[in-house]
Amino acid sequence: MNRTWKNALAVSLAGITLLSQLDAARACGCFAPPSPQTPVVQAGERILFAHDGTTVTAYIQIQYQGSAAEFGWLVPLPSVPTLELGTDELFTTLGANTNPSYQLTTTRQFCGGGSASSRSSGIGCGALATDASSFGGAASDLGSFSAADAGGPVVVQASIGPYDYAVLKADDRTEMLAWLNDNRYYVPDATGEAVTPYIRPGSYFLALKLRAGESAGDVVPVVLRYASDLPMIPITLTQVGAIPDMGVLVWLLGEARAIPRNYHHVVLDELPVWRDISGYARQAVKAVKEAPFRHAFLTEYAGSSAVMRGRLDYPGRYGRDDELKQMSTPSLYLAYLRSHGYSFDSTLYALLERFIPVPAWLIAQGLTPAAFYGSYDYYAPVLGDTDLGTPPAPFDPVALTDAIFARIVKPTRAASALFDRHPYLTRLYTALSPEDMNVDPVFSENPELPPVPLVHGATLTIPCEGDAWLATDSGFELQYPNSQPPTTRWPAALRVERVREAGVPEVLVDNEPAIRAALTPVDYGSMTGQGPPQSRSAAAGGCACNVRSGFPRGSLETLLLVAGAILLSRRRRRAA
Amino acid sequence: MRLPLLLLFLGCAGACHEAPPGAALAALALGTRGPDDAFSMLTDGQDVTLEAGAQGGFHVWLRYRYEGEPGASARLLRTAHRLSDDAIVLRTSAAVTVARESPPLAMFMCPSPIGLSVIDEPIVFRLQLNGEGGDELASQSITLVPRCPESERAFCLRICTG
Repeated sequence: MNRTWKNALAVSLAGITLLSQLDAARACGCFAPPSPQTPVVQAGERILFAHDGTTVTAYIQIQYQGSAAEFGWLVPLPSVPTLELGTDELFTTLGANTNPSYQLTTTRQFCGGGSASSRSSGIGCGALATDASSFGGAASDLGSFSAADAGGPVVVQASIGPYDYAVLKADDRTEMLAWLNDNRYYVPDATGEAVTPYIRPGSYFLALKLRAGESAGDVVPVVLRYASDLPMIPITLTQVGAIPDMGVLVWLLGEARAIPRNYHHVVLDELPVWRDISGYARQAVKAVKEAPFRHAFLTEYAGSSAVMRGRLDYPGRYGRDDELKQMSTPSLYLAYLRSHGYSFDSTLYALLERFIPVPAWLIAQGLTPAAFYGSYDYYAPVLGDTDLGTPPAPFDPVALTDAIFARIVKPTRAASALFDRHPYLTRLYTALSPEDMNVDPVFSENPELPPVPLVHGATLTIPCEGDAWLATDSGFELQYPNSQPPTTRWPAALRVERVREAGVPEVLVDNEPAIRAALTPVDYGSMTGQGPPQSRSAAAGGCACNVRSGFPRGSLETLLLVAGAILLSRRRRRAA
Repeated sequence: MRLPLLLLFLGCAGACHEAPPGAALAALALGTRGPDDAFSMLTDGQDVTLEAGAQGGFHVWLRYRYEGEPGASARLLRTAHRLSDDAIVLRTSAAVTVARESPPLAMFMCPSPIGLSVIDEPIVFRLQLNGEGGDELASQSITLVPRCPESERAFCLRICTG
């Protein structure tokens, strides 16, 4: 019996690993298809809001695969924003440090006496996926541009990093759409309708597209800062091109626990999760669907923002730019990067390729940037061999350092500082299908609500004789007949609630009594043995699994983007 | 018959939320943004047409006129409750520098909290200025009845009725 359980757990953990590896693509906002016939599918959103009462700072991750010429993005905003480039590392690190963790302690009672108990270390079983790209960059104050230079609906028109952008007045739909069309953005009919609620005097849209010569791989997170009372995701715009059950993961930094103001709140029933931890994402989606109108968020973490402090920026990381500029050879330069905590991700590779290009003849042989820069010293002796190809241009460590600090170091440090300024961090998750994307979620705070921990615990006891049982920290006890998880069908949501900006939640649906009533009393079996403790095998032991929210898997590698926005696609080459 | 009773009730609403007598508080008058954003006094119990926000919501705009010494660092707490059941509609706070007249302050009404209608309902709006030590500098409440703008009535009703 124990072996069966061991196998079940091993399978479960393997599932977690797979889930984690696949769960890379999340995004926020809305893509507008390049044409009504070829819809771009949006599979998720990830956004971090920091709110100080009058100003919202939104970090929006844009994950996109497709033609660079067809990339465009449109975000409705209540005021003229400032725009900066962000870094994917923020989202990678946020995810890693706020994933719910399910820690199982296994206790085995031995016939003949003794017991053995083990608990996981707290490290997640699932490897965390790294995001495909990471870019940072210099800030640009959109407000510093003169409206007079642009004319029409355009308030600001400029470039930053890989993007061309414009801030448009949204007080006249016809005028705004005409400008988008004239500038080779295409708004499909359905998107045009979705835009309508945001067309009003005093409103703005930020339109973004890749600059000529940039590739889709250059799409990087953006940071918007704008005057607004409450953070909001313009999810209505997302309905065009969104996939069913599109995951939306939102982190909110503030002074207290964040709440979905106009969505329901669900509390997850942990029993189905304990039965199959790899099914966490599925249960989260199901729980959301059990709320009225399928409009609900699940709080996955609420507590101190200290979980992120020092994670992005720590003493010694990145070194000093003056030191880096003194690294006279690529070999020394790369060694300095490696020894000072630089993440060798797509952002860094993109910069390195500009200043320490991978020779064409090596690319032709299938060498990747990661392999080249990872073994640079191996290739260095032959790089100047003219028989193999064009020798590299003289190395410019000063320019490369300036680029790295602008695109990586500065934005990462800026993101890190957010967690020092805002004491409270809340992570909310929902999944929405296009037909349900008809109410824009707005977030506020309720300082009276309790924190939500990251770690969820349970103990599986395997008695000397009889069936195992599970006891969760949340107070449920569950028999495992024949030491197999029971097949009982439970609701995915323990409770469906309304949460307001003050007071305790109003419970609309309380499944707990029914769940408890359906549980048979646990038979604790024999617990009186006196045998020696046995060591626990790896397969049967405790495990802590970081789980990740339910984002659709199949299309994760196909694209994505982020926050309260609409991705517009540039019109294909227009007829002259 | 019902109207006078309602007005009587509304008339009480503002005063009922005043600070306790005896506290040395500066006076705070509440208004809204008039033409050219000028301060325009509001009357307790009056109707206000919701104004479309920039991101698809609706607000009531408030301004305050502060009779004390301006310039202090403070925390401005903005709340709104439904008069009929005291259900909270909005609570938000922000660090401010106390001004003689505030800029227009958006009282975020819609999308309204889940399950809560704010349309044609008397809503008690309250502004409270607290000093850096948490001491109350001034506060004032006013009851207003938000109405949907006719031009966007259907959309307004959809997102303002919970």
